[in-house]
Amino acid sequence: MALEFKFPDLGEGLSEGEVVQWKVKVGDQVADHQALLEVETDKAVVEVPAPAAGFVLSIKGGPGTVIQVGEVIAVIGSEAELKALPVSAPPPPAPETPPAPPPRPIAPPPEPYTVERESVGVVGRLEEAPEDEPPPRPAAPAPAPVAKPRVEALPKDRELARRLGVDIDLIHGTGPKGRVTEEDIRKAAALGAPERGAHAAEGVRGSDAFGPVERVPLRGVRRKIAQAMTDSLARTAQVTTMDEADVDSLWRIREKQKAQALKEGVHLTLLPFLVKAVVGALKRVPEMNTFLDEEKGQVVFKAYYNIGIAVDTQDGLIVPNVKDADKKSILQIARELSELAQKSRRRTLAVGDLKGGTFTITNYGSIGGLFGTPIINYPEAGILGVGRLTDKPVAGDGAIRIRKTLPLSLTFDHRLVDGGHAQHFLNDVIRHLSDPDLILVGM
Amino acid sequence: MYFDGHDPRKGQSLRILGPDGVLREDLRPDLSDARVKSLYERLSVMRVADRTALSLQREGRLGTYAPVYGQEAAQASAAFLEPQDWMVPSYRETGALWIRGVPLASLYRYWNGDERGMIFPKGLNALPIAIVVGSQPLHAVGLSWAMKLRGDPGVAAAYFGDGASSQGDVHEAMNFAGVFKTPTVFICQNNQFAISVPRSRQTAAATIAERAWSYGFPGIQIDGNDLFAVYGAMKEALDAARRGTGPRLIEMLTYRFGPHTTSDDPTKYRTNEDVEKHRPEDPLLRLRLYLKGRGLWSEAEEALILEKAQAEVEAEVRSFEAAAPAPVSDIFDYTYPELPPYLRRQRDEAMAGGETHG
Amino acid sequence: MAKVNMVTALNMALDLEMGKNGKMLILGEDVGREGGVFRVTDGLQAKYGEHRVMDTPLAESGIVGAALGLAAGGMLPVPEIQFEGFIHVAMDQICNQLGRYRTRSRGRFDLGVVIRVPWGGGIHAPEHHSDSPETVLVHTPGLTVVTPSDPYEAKGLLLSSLRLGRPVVFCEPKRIYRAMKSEVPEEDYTVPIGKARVLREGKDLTVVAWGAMVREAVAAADELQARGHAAEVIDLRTLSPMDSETVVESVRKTGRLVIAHEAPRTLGLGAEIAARVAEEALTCLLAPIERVTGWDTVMPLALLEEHYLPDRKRILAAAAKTLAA
Repeated sequence: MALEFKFPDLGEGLSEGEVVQWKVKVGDQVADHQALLEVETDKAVVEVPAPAAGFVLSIKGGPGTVIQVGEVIAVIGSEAELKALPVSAPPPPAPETPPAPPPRPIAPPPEPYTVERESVGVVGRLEEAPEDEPPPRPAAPAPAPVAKPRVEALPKDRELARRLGVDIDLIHGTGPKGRVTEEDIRKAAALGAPERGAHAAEGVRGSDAFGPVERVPLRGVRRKIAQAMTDSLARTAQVTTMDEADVDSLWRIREKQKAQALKEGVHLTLLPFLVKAVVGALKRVPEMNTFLDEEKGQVVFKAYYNIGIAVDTQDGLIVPNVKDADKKSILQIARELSELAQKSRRRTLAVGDLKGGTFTITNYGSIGGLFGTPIINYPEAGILGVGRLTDKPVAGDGAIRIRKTLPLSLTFDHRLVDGGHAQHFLNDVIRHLSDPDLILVGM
Repeated sequence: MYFDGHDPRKGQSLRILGPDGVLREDLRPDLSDARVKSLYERLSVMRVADRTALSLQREGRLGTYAPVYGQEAAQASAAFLEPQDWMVPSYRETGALWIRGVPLASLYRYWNGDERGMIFPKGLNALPIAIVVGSQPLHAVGLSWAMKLRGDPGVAAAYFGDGASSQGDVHEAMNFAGVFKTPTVFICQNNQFAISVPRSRQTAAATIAERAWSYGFPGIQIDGNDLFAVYGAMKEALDAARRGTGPRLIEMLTYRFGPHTTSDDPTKYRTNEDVEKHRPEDPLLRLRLYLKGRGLWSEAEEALILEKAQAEVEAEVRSFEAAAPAPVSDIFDYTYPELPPYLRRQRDEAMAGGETHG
Repeated sequence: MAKVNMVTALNMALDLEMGKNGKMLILGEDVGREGGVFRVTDGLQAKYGEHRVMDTPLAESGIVGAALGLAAGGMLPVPEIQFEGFIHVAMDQICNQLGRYRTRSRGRFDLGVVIRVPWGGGIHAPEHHSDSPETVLVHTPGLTVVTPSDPYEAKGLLLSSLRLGRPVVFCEPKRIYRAMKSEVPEEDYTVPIGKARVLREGKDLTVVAWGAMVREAVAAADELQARGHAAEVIDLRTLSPMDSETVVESVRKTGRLVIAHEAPRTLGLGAEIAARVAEEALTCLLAPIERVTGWDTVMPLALLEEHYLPDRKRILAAAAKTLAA
């Protein structure tokens, strides 16, 4: 019984795809899970496997066809069903003995036995121009619309960019003659942009001079992180200053608002408050929201506030950012943080989510640790590390009380930011966290 | 008798039956009147077939065709080959191929651009039509050479025209034949024209036949419109070759009444008066006169002969036009015994209308 | 200005140069009295005499070899090979002799010989009258190979060829001998050899063709325009030496290339063009290069000819494929 294969949702909320190429044609025999066709989705070119073994009875659409999820794109059936298909090849030859048509009369040739009309050539038939043929000289070329400037890249790298969902024409090429290289593409896809099957840890067991080892290729996200970290440290002058924030009051606010937020589908943590505090501090200490354009020898002060949040995924660290955090409410930021985290883990981030950050917060406290020396998400000017929330005995007003305390570690690029600025920044963040009323008043 | 007694180098040319229909009895070959009559009937069909081809072409039912009008007796030479002999035609050999046994429908098919026309009946020893002028005598030499090496009693008859005789390959063919003494009979149908170029432009030699001696074998020039001379010279040449005495060249003088092809306009290079001057040499005319003198032909007979010829040709036309179109795969399937993958892909592409683009 | 077909345009060129250059000779089968089977040399024997416009014996090798000698002796011979199928008979004289003579004689003999040959298919002719064997000629060092795509180009290119002073094979696409008319000036003008022309400008893809295929390429480009894609159409004009620079420049702009030719696919000129583009513009390519060609089979006879020859539909399909990639 023929199976109608409907284009499946390949995950990630797909609604449609574009056929890149069919790997089989009508009449082919396919095995279960054999690749049937390649489809391009938002981010990647995906192979769609056959749902069953059999013979391909029909396929829908050639390269470039847009197919909808749920649409029948192929029919797979038995050999008998294949044979029963009407043949669409050139028409079968006429039967051997057709009914004799009435003989077509043959007019006698003109006499004398020569050509009567002017003929040209001694063979065949030449096409004659019609009398009123417009001249075939080309018309003035149509004004060509300005082409979008395009980069140069090797075909394999274009393919990579397509797979990674990166617009290659927006990438600044560092290769020969300004060619966009594989490195450029991977960087642009930002640290940890997911690829298909990139991290199969095929370890090769062996041994070195001292004992047994296992060798695993440095690939994918891991490789990107390695590159990014060394880049960051090599190009900047990073210094870290540390302090603690008393977040007891903030904590109570959060506890109080948690249930309400949940009703609106938002999981409220301290992080969105942190984002708001950071944004406020960035506005008051703009040196922390800059970037050093070494080529032009300029310090670029950014007037937008895209706060990156480091997300730990199974592939490694990914840093999507919340755009225009100054314009969003804490609840909005909370919601967005959830979405970004989820997308990061599912590898469904858009390229834009990973670009354009101006400052980063890295929250390692959930795993553990108090203070650290986080590495800047280059080319930003600073990064705020957040450690474990603890109940600490704190002296104040002559008494010792147990207060919820948040350890903060601020790494800043000393090329752009001096210790004073950095400390002012950190003080500002801490002040707002400790006295959340200031956040309210500052809005 | 014929080769020995008619040396083209001495200006001698063989004619047994002249345009007046009178036979030189002393030169008569062993061709019975009954056979002559039968041949005349076949040549009548040949002429009707040839004129029909022209009509069909005018009506768009046939592609470009090269007529044999006026050369029927010379074409009849193919009837004198043994079954084991090989006929190697040029392209103006429709009459000869037909009288050798290729169905007229097949020949019409070929001239209509259907390559299946070159699928000959099994056992019919003839090579396909050769379009490149002068390319085929070498093939005849090779074929006859093989027969000689294998000890087969066959002879290869190489057909070519006066124009072809200027081609280097024809010189090489005859030279090889002479050197290797192959059982080859070279038949040059000199119809006086290579499209527009007259025979006088092809060579300054007085005859084409005399060239044979430069290759070490004898040649003869005959009146190609004389069926008896054709028969006599052919038999003698075929026997000599079969006996192992080597190749012969027969130059058959004739005249191309028709155009070079159905797409040619001969008035560009000859006048109708020129053509009419040769009308009395018509091979069928003199046969009629001869047979009439023998009491074997009459006007009433002629009407019957023509009627039968018409019917036969029309039946062939019907057969030809009833053929189903050739499949597109035919373009590919003869290239190699098995198609390599890249060619199979191209075939798929062609059969899909060339639009799936492999 | 008269609107004439390619046959007339070629005749005009020959007539003009015969008048200007007393050393020019025309020779070949049926070129004199008949005026050429396609009438390209019509009237020239009557005008210039039998000693300058000569009917030769039927011998292509003889015609070309004699022309070589005539050129070495200071004449400008313009031999005709009646159909491209018969050029093989003259290959030794063309490739082994004419192409090499300058090298062999260390520059002493620059042989101005223009071999005119009706070329290509599409006229429902018998065997050997529909082929496109330009690859072999382009592959032969020392030869210049030229092919016009319309009457105006034909006259200009032929005049340039006649004045080049080097061996030229001038391939006349017989399918369009009479199929189109354009305005062809009476006066002397030339079209440059060694330079391709861009007939249509476009940013979306490049289509390269020559001879009779240019018409098909333009038709395909028109259809693409209607579908919202701007195709750049290039007429190669000179096959050897090939102006691949124009093609490369175009592909740098468009990133996509379709090449159309009647000759079989394997080692047709499309392969050379594709190789050069891959060498010089690989990083600009957005899709694989497409070739729309005759099949790697013997050219079929009239009945199946249309299933062999590329046409605007096949060019369109290739263009669509390259745009979708």
